[in-house]
Amino acid sequence: MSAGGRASVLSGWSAARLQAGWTLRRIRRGRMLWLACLFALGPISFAFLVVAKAHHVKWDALFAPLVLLAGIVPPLLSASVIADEFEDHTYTYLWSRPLPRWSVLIGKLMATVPLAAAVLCVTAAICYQVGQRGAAPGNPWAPLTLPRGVAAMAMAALAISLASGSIAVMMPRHGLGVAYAYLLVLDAPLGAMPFSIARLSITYHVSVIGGLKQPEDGSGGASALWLCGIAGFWLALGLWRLARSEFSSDAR
Amino acid sequence: MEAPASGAGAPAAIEMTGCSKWYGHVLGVSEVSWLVRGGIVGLLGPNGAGKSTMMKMIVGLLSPTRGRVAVFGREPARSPEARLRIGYCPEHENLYDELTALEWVTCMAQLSGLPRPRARAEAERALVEMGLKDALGRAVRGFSKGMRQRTKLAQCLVHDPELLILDEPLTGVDPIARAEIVERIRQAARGGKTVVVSSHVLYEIEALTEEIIVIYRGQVLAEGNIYEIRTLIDKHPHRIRVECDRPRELGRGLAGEDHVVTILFERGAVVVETAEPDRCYDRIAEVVLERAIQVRGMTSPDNNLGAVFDYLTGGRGGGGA
Repeated sequence: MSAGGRASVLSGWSAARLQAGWTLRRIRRGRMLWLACLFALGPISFAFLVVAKAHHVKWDALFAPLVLLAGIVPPLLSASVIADEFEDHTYTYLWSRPLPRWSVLIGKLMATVPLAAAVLCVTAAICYQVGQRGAAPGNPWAPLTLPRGVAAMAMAALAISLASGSIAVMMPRHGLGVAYAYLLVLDAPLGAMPFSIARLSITYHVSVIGGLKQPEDGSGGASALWLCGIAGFWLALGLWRLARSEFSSDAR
Repeated sequence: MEAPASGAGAPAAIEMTGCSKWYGHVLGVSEVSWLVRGGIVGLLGPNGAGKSTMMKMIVGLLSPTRGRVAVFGREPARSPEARLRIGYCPEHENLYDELTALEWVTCMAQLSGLPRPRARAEAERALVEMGLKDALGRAVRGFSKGMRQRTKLAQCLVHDPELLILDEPLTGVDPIARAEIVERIRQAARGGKTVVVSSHVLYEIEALTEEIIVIYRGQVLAEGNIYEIRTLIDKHPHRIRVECDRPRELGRGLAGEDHVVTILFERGAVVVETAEPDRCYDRIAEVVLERAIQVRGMTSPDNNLGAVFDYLTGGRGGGGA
């Protein structure tokens, strides 16, 4: 090597940080972030519409479209970035290098989770500002409405990104589609059930933290813990799949 | 094939001992034992023979179902230290299209453990050496096949590995790029690197080395200096497909040559069947330069190689697909 000295083996976290940086650069130049921002205009437009039409605007009316947005943006960023890596076989460049495999998934999530959280939290804050102007006179929204809404969006970004990222590792060919199907067909109906099984749903806990739903027992804090547990489960599943994966379909 | 002898002193660059790889019920590679100490070694076989599987086992992307692979004495799938000494150029052409060539190779250099300023400098050096000085700041999205091959080779060399694993590095590149890539690979070998290069075209491998391992249906058929194989292949007409802007012009330039058997035209391409591939490749390069024909890609369908291997195995084939 002309500059003297040899390359050395990176620690897993250093490799993950590096991959996060390069992933951010790629996302910035790609279409998905702009598409996510375009989707974010939906709840904001809805908030303006509600304020213009309704006499007394309630936060609940504005938060429901935010929950929907939370089901769209994180998979758009996480599942597509991770699925593309496997679908395009560019993982071969990464895994033939001296990196632990887990650093690929963690590195990508380190880039996509904050981005998804930023899009969702900013959208929630804008919706709050717009909606507050239509609150009933003499009956302003509770002081914790905005912090709860933002916290719900941040937690949703984390849990849904991890779930959709792991789904993309398991099914790279249709990662984004399967992630949406999971959220729409399984998670959302599960969250709407009036039984304790609803606690397995990400949508349910996001609604509880954001104040859209009143928990039968427990609180917003308990829901945050549940979301961390669900996110951890999905991450563990994704890492397990990655560790034993050989992606043999393209191997020959 | 002989089992590798356990060498004294420094461990061999590659040591495969009784390696088999199954994909479910399909056998990819069967009982391969192979020892590589240095130099350039060609891995020859038709598509689906098991070349890529062998290479992926060597770089640690796949683990053998049975047997053992060691690179410099360590198991590549488990040892980052072993992978640090490997440069791998896969067969597919996909890169990170959003990045420029310099960014992409810098990214790969950093992931190979080079600190950021050094990584950038080494990436620039590697790309310039591969003839991409003018394309450093261009997004790889717009790269031709030949430019992508060169960029892939640059990422493979950027961290100065001791072992290069090159999966079909000459596929689809034009004659000029081909000559440059061959020279760069030879240069790396002269610099003390061990190079394993695969191809389904004997003439590509021959340009690099005479040390060849022939693999077919997951099994090693022959190893060493194989003039016999070459003679057999020469008996079968060899097809060369050239994609270019004026295929008829190129066809006219080749017509009348005694080694050319047939010339067929396809949309944007000419397919030449020849009895003497070496002379034909030389003549194609001459005509391209003389008549300023723009070549987009040159490939050699491997039908003839498959026929020769079927002949070699007496139509038995191997266990694999």
